[in-house]
Amino acid sequence: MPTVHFIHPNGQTTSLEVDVGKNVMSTCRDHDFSEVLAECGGSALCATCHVYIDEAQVDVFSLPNEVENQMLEFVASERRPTSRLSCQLTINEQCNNLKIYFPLQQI
Amino acid sequence: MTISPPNIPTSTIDPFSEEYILRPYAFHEELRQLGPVSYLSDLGVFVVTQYEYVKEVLNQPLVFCSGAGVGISNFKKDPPWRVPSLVLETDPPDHTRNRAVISKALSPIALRALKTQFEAEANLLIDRLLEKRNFDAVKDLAEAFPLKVFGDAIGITPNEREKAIVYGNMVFNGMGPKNELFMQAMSRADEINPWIMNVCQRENLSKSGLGIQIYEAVGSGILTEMEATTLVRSFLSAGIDTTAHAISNAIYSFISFPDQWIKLKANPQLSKSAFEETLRFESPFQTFFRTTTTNAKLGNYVIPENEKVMLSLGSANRDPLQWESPEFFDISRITTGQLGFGTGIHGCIGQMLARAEVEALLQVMAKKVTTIRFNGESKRLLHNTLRGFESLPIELI
Repeated sequence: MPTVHFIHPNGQTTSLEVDVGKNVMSTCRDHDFSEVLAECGGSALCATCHVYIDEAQVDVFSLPNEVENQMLEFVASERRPTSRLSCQLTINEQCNNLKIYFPLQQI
Repeated sequence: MTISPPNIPTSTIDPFSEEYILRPYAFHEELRQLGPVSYLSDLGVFVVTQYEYVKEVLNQPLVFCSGAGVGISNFKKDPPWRVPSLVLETDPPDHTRNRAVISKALSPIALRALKTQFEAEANLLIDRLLEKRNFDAVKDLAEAFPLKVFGDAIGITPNEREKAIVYGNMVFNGMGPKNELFMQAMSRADEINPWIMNVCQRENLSKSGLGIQIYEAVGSGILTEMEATTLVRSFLSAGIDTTAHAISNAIYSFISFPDQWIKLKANPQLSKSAFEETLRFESPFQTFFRTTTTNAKLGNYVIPENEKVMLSLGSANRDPLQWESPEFFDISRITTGQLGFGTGIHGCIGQMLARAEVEALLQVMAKKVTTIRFNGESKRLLHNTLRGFESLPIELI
């Protein structure tokens, strides 16, 4: 089971073992990470589950589809090349030791 | 009539019959039992009713396309009755371009600005209705609210807005077969079609609404003027009666499950999940069609190319394999994954706007209304696609 490190804006890290196939946004909600709001419940339509993937590890996920790409235009914190909507990310075998950073703001 | 393909279970259920429309849930159960897909022999279409497979179809937009229409008619065989929607009835890459234009107008930032307005209007409306006490929840509440707040948000003329309800009725009844409901809905087409196109013209939209923003894409060469008008039309066809039926369904569900109303009153913050649960429990959008672009695999079956596939969102949202005790309305249920708004690239683009509207309304109701009860016999709507009420007489105290 891959271990994923969630890095909060204050620098603290929460490391979790996450099942392959599990959605990243759902994982955050299950653990009550208040940094992820996910107002639309996972439809890539609210831009409130924005996360940054560690620069060296962005390739563990396939590229954002058009719907996600469009919505990333509206994230409340700065959009970076590593920006993703966590509702569109599914944990896979390559995710072991993956670092996911929460942005400062979602709205 | 096509012949049932080998191995795929066949059923003679007619999802457009009065019995089915009024009481769909036992029929859903029967169809779910048949497997991932079955063939409705009387209509010559396939039907998908299990949650897992409805979702799978929605997430394969290139195999199960929308461009040949999302109603029962196949645009490749029968010409559509209107200029097809540039988002609903369009496939990538055009769909991607058009959706981006709407997406920009409906940005989370734009919606946040509208929330205060929705709340203020909800307060005004509920105060008025509390004074009135007895009224029809369909006309006076469920339709009145989106006609006002959604109409203002898009920036359409305040005159004759109820015609947008008639238009929505045409669009969604028009997705069914050419039955009596279809014909009835289309009976005012000659009057309504030019009205809707006129309302959506650049010069008839308010300068501060979301509608006019669609025309910015004309200036930047992305859309033609006509395409922009057709895209603004999408707001009006998709955003009013759907929301209205959701509101009626919420009211009906709360009266039928009074413990849930008490729960909401104790914690108005539950309005958000109450709306999601309404969409799951009584999905306003019951069905959508797709058309296969190839021999399409679903479970262990293969649906032949160029066939219509009916997706029952209403059934998926009550599939016991996905939901515990699906026949109970429970506003504290975790509803993540409910398919009331669809999902994937054609997932309802206005869903955040609809949420903002209904959440504002339910919150105000939870704070101001003590009791809601029936005050007369409610009448279910007979409709080819949508589930709601024709009338819902209630008393608000």
